[in-house]
Amino acid sequence: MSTSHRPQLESRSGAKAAGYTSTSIEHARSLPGHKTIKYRVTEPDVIRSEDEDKIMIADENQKHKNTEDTVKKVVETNEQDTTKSLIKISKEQRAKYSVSKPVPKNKGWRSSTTFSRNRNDKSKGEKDEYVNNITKSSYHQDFIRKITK
Amino acid sequence: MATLPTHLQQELNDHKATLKNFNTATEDILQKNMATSKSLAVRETSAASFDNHSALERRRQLFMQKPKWHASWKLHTVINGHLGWVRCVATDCVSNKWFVTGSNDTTIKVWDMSTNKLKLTLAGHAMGVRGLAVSKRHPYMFSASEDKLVKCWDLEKNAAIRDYYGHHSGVHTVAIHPTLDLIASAGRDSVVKLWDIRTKEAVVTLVGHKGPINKVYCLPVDPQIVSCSTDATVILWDIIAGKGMKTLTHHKRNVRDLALHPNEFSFASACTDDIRSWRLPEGSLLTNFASQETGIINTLSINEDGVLFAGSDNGAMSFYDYKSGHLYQSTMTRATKGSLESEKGILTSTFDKSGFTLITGETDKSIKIWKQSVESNPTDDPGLPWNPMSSSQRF
Repeated sequence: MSTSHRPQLESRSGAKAAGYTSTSIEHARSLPGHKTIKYRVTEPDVIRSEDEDKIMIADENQKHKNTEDTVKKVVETNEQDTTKSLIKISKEQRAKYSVSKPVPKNKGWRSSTTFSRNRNDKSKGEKDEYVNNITKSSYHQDFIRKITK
Repeated sequence: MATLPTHLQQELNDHKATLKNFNTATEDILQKNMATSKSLAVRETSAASFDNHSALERRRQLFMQKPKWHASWKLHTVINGHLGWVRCVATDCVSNKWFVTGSNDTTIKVWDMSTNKLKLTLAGHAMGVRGLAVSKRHPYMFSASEDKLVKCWDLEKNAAIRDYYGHHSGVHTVAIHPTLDLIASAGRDSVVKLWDIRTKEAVVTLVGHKGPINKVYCLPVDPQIVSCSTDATVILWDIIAGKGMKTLTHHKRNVRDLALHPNEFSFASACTDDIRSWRLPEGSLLTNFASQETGIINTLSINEDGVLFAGSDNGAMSFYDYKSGHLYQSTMTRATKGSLESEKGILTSTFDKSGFTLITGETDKSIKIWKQSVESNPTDDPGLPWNPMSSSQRF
């Protein structure tokens, strides 16, 4: 716990200690650990470099033929691949989110009457509503009910 | 007219036809002026000055720059999970799949962007978390806390792996350098410290602010550090010389937040009732926003579409067009049920990577997600009227 929560007219300035020279004291917290730094390997970059490689190879092979055509072909095949994969993904997602139509339950006539129990059950809606007050939360209310009698 | 930016010039050209009447009127006035003045030289100078400097002409020019239309924002989701004020929020800037919030209850919580479900709670700080930053280049997240520490979290292990120890008081903000392996942190001890990520060493200490620092940003080119402070100044730092490059003293009060524009090389800063944007790298004034009577502004964020959001301490939310400084939507947040009168304020905000989602952290311990309504269009939902003040102009 630091004292930075305490009211002060002026907090301790770091400017005064900026010219401070270090001593021979070694703190455990400043000992080396996690000596290597990690870098992200982003997927789009990898894909892009592969594409470039393909195009490069095509370029090298096509000394006698028209190079532009092959590049076009490579690009087209790539596009086809990507569109195929996109279609696949969208189909999967559709399958995931498509919800089969709920079959209507065979209800009794009682539930549709004015004074049915389902309609007039007041405790139903208020059960899990969040209140931004810990003392009013259902958990605390139950706790108090148990303890005070 | 030669000094007008290109987009304004275009606007002017488009509206020339509609302004014919106005122009003829001004010409009449001009001719009267000319009639009174005798020498030709005097006539010429008066005409020139009228063109550039008359209040009428400036007002006409202001009306000419029609602000861009933006769809209005609506509350989408309320997330209750923290046990204290939500002080800081950051999005996953690589995949845009999650966002992270830090709170006064000392925890950092990671949330799923699409489902808004809690993914992870990180505990490690001893006091409230005030600043968060997710690195684009490293699988790391950095958090600044009032317990004087900056922590480095490994997102592959979900654990704190490094502590940056050296601030004399609570740390309010942390930012990651976009190209170097450095982080900048600043807080109540009114210095900006640059840390080497790997060795945990404080490389540079930037001294110059006279009060606690509220926000720090890192840029890839000079000025590499920008910070704002309670001493009502914004300082652009030269980290090679280790001192301030330029101090912006336009603000009258505590500058609570800065926001960088994602595309344009400029930033905005806010103090009570006053939002201004600044051109980089020189730090010259760009726009005065129509921000009178906004109250204490806690947070600013800008998206790629050119929407500037300002969240106030009293729960007021203002949406501006960044280019013209036009306030096009002004609403209030809805406090969660059971909260006190005082528990209605926005502490932090951020747009997600796409810019279509706004995430705010509030004093009622909730996180709110706002989205631009898809079905609104310029005819049905034109926003607040464009009535520029002479002070609110783009320079």
